[in-house]
Formats: sequence, structure tokens, C-alpha cells
Amino acid sequence: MRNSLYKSIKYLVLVGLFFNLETLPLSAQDDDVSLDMEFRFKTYKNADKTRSFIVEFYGTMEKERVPVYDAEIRFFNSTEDEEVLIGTANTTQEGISNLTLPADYSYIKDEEGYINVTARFEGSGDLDSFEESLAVRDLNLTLELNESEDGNTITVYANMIDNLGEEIPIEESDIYFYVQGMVSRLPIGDDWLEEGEYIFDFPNDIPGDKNGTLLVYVEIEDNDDFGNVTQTATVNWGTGPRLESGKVRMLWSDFGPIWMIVLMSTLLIAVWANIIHSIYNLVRINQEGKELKETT
Amino acid sequence: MNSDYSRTEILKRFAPILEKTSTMGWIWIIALIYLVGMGVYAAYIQFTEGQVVTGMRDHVVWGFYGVNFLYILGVSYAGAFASAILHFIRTPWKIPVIRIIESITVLSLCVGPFFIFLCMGRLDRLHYLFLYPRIQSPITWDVIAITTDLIVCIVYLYLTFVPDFAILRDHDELKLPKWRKNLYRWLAIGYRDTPTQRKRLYRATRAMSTMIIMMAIAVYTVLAWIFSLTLQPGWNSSIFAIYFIVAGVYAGIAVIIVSLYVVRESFHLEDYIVRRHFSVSGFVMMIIAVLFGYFTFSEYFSRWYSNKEHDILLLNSLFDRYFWHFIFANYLTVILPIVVMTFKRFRTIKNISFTALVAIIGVWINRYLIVVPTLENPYLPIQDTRLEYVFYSPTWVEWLLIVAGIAGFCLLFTVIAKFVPIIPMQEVLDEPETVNDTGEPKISGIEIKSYT
Repeated sequence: MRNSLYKSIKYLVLVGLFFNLETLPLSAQDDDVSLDMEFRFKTYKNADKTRSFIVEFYGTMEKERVPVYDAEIRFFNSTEDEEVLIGTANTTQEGISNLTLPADYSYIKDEEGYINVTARFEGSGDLDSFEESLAVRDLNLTLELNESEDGNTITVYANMIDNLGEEIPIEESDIYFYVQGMVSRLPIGDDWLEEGEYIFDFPNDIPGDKNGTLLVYVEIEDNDDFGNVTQTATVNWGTGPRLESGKVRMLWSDFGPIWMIVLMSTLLIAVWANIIHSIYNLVRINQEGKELKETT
Repeated sequence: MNSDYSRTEILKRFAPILEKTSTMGWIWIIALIYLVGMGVYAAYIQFTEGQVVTGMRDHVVWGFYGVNFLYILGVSYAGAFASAILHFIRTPWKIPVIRIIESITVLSLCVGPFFIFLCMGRLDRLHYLFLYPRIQSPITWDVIAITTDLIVCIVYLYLTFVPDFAILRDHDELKLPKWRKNLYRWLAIGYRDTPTQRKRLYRATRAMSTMIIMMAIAVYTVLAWIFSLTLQPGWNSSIFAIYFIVAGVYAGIAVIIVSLYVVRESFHLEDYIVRRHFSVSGFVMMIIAVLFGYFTFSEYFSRWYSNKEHDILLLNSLFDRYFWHFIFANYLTVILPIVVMTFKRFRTIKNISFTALVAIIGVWINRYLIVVPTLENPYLPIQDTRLEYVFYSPTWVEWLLIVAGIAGFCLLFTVIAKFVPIIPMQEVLDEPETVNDTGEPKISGIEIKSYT
């Protein structure tokens, strides 16, 4: 009860702050409600080479997140001299604003090849303005799938793209491998990539779908220079489901399973034996009745 | 104890019920026959014009009929279970109620299957189920189980009737038509209550009692499997068999309590069917209500928690379109028996009977909520279907056939009550505690007043 009251108050405060409600409930203010605001900005390069700029905007009170909903976040591509608006996106009910730009989008880069992007919330009523910037270099992850009798491997090539559009192997980075599960991704390995190349020995005991197909994710995560970069590949290296036999059970199969026929027959015989036993007893009662009638 | 004297006294007590029918009795019987006749007319309309006269369509192929079939067989199961268990218990308390329970069991089994016939689009192919059975199909198991159970129940009921047929045959002072006396003579199959005959009858009845418990569990389990072995949202559940059994027992106990009340009031059997019968039945009903609530909660909670898309669609429908049905069937039906039986001052015969009536309706709605909303939320929706084809609402034909089914049940019950004493006379005589020194019956320690 107390928790739900606090929760209600928190939402009221946040909605009130955002829409600049002048009649904020006094009781909420009296309750010493304080929010520590968080404005987190990240970028992801997706498998299809599109790039997502994501802001998480929320307050924290008593270790609990209270997302800011419907806040307009503006994204700017900037250099020392200029600032270009590349898009806006409002936060969702989870407090997340997502701007995804196409693969061929032409960013303004600085001399070292960095893309500088700023995410900005201008403020609304009692909610202060927030701003966060990041700088990333464009990076391409390329996967080469190799099948052999000794084992399957994935060769990862990581090349950054300079100002002239040339691909240059990166020096080093952490690299992570996952496969898609039903609910979340399953980590299958991580290592250190050097000189733009890494060969990953793919495990041979991972179950796939009914055809043994797996969706593999290769990622560079939270890198200071490149942010988050993902590449995917579909491979047919899963173990597949284990069927016990070649026979598939179907309702329309020609015959029922033997065990079922035996069980049903046994049960029916037992029941009918009892019915016959009862009828036999009734017949004997009848016979005795007739004999008694004849003797009297 | 003078046995002949006791027999005569008991016969005198039940003779008016067997010999005469009051004006109200005739009105009751004629009204029931009229309702059954209307049902036959509705069935004729359905068979000649097809199922288009019902509310059943492409999605909801089991409407009122399916629900009634499910419900009535549950009642039968409960009756079978209760009567078979009572058979093993030696207590004078059971005597006034056992025949009522046995009758409910057999009559439910006779009436119930008619409703599944009404669901069939091609009734002319009914015999194919026997000609071309598929042992893999739960429908085949159901046909076999119900047919066998019906035979077992009829044999069992007949076995319990034999001694009373003999008493009715042997007493010429009963003012009955000749054909009826001849029928009693034929049905008594020469039973003279000799030790050998008694032993044989006891042995047969005992064997059938055991069989009847197993058959009842098997039949209702198979019935539950017809639903739970499918992948339909709301049906594919591992606890459905036991849930069905508990719901069946709950509805059955409620029907037994209401029947006890009606028989007690109609035939003025206040001396035989006493408050203790209602209290004990009420407590059994309360325990089963708690179990029913527990299984209902488990069933819906696990569906809600696992959050599967189609289960959630179904639950949304239950808490939206069927909100009040859901509250009545799964809350009120569970809470009311607990309240009535917990507080002593609420524990009156009328209150317990009313609670049983609420339970009868509540469990029926619970069965409806299992059958219809699931069919309205199928895995593969049919595209471009009219709304009235998706959502089910029963037509007058279905309502009439439901009423006719209930009337048919009541009519058959009335016929049995007029044909044989609704309280087994032989058992009253056999139980020393039920007869006092002068041969007058007493039940549960309460002496019965003079009947003359």
C-alpha cells in the first residue's frame, strides 16, 4: 500500500514537472520527493549498417527508475564550426529515445574521422535541460564463414573508415560472440581482436531450430572509439532437434500404438467382466427364487 | 424386531407416494411433459433446417450443448462417486439419500449425451463412430467410456432396486394397477431375501461399486482430455483432468443437495431427510468449493504469468466481455459456501440449499467460460468473418433444448420417485439403528413419528 502510494506520487511529480503543472500536489512536495535525473547517450551501428542514436532519460528515486515520457530529444551532428540537426525523437514510456539513420547517411566528420553527435533536451517547465555528446569513428565488421571437417570458424574483419572512405584495419578491440535464443542472446565467446582480424572457433554443440539454423551476433561493445557495432550471420551449424525415431506420431496414422490398444482392451475387458459377473449373480438369484417358489 | 410389521409400516409410509399423485403432482408432470415436447419441437426444427438455427458458427462449434454435455456428465460422475463411496460406509445416515444420488447418476448419464448429439452437424453418421472407430482419438475413448459407464450405472442402480422390487411385489395391499404389480414381479427376479440371495446381491453390488468409481474417474478424465490434448489456448492444460473432476464433484454435490431439498419438501420426508444431511453435504460442498477455487486460480494464474500471446488474448476476453460471468463463476461460487458453512447461524437447510443452487449455476458458467471464449479466440482466425460468426450467442432453439433437458431430467426423476420408494426400504430394515423397538424407523438417532 505504502509502496504503491510512493509510486503514484513519483509519477505525479514527474508528469507535473514535465507539463509544468502549476497545481502540483503539495503533499507530494511535503513528502520530500527528490529525483536524480539521468541522461545517457549511446550509439549503435547495426548489422544492416544503419546507425542508431539512443538516449535513456529517467529519474531515480529510492533506487527505482522513473522514466521520462514523451520528452523531445534533438540530435545534432557537430564540428568545431557548425551544428547540424540530424533528427528528433520523443522518449517512449520506458524513457528511451531512438533515432536511426540510414546506412548511406552522410555525416560530417572532424579531421581525425570522428563523427561528433550531441543529444539535447531543451527542458520543459520545472525539468531542466540536458545534453550529452559522443564521438565515434565509423567501423565495418565483416564476417567470413568457414566450414571444414575439423570444425567451423568465423573470421571477423574489423576495418574503420577514414575521411576518404578507405577501410583501415583497427589495431585492437574486445570482441563478443552470441547466438539468438528464444528469449535472449546466449554468449558463446569473447576475445581480443588484433590488427583488424580474429578467427573464432564455433562450438559444435549448440542446438538450433528444427533445421539446425542459428543466428550469430558478433559485437564490439562500448568501445571508446567506435561505440557499439554489431554484425550478424545465419549459419546452419546448430545440432537441431533430437528425434527419437523416424516415425512421427499422427492422429490419422493407420493404427493406434500397441500399448494403447492393449491398455484400452484390458480396461474394457475388466469392466465387462464385472458386468457379466453381476448379471450372472442376478441369474443365480432368479434361479434360486424359482426353486423356492416350486418348493413352497 | 418384527420384520413383517416393519415392512408393513414402511410400506404404509410410502404407499401414498407410490399409489396416488396429487393435483399439484399432475400439474408438475404435465408441465414437464410440455417442456420436453417443446424441446422435441426445437430439435425437429434443428434437424430439418440445420444448425443455422443455433448460435453455433465457424468459430464456436460447441455452444450451450457442449457446455451442458460437459456439465451434466460431471454431475453424473459426482453422483456415481458419492453413491459408490456411501455403499462402502456402514452408517444409517446414508440411507435416505443414497437412492436419490443413484438416480441422479443414472438420469444424468441418460440425459447428458443427447446434448452432444445436438452438436453434431451430421447426426446421420453417428454410427460411424462405432463402425470406424479410431483408437487414437479421444472422441473414440469418450464414446467407449460413456457407453460403458451408462451400462455400469444402470446395472448398479438395478442391483440396488431389486430388494425393494421384491417388497413391492410381496405386499398385495398396495393399490396399484395390475401391470405395475406384474412389472415389480418381473423386476424382482425371484428375490426372496434368503441368505444366499442376499450374499450374491451384496457381492455383485460391491463389485459394481468399485467399478463405478473407476469408471467415473475414467469417463470424466477422458472428457477433460478432449479439451486438454488440443493446443487451443485455455484448454491445453495438464491439470484439466483433475480440475474437471473437482468441478464435476462440486456441481454434483450441489445438485444432490438441491434434490434432497426438493424431495424433502415435495414428499414431506422431513423425518427422513434431516438437517444433518444438509450440514454434512454442505461441509463436503465447502471443501470441494475450496478445491475448485484452488484449481481455478492455478489454471488462470499460470496462464497469466506465462504471458503467452493467445492466452493473454483469452484472459483479456474473460476480464472484458465475460467479466461478470467470471466473477460469478470463479469468485462468488467459491466464497459463498465458505461463508455459509463457516458461520453457524447461516447454516440452515434453506441457506445451504440456496448456496447449492448458486453453485449449480456458478459451475455451469465456469464450464461455459472454458468452452466458449476459447473457441472465440482461436489460433487461426478465419479472415473476413462477420462478428456474429465470431462471437457466440445462443438462439431460442438452444434455450428451449436446454430447458427441455432439465425438464426431462426432472420428469425421469419424478417417474422414478413414483415407481420405487425414493428411500430404500430394505436398507432401512437392514440397519438396526434405523428401526426402533416397535419396528418404526428412525434415522440418525431421530425417531420417526407414527405414519398411520
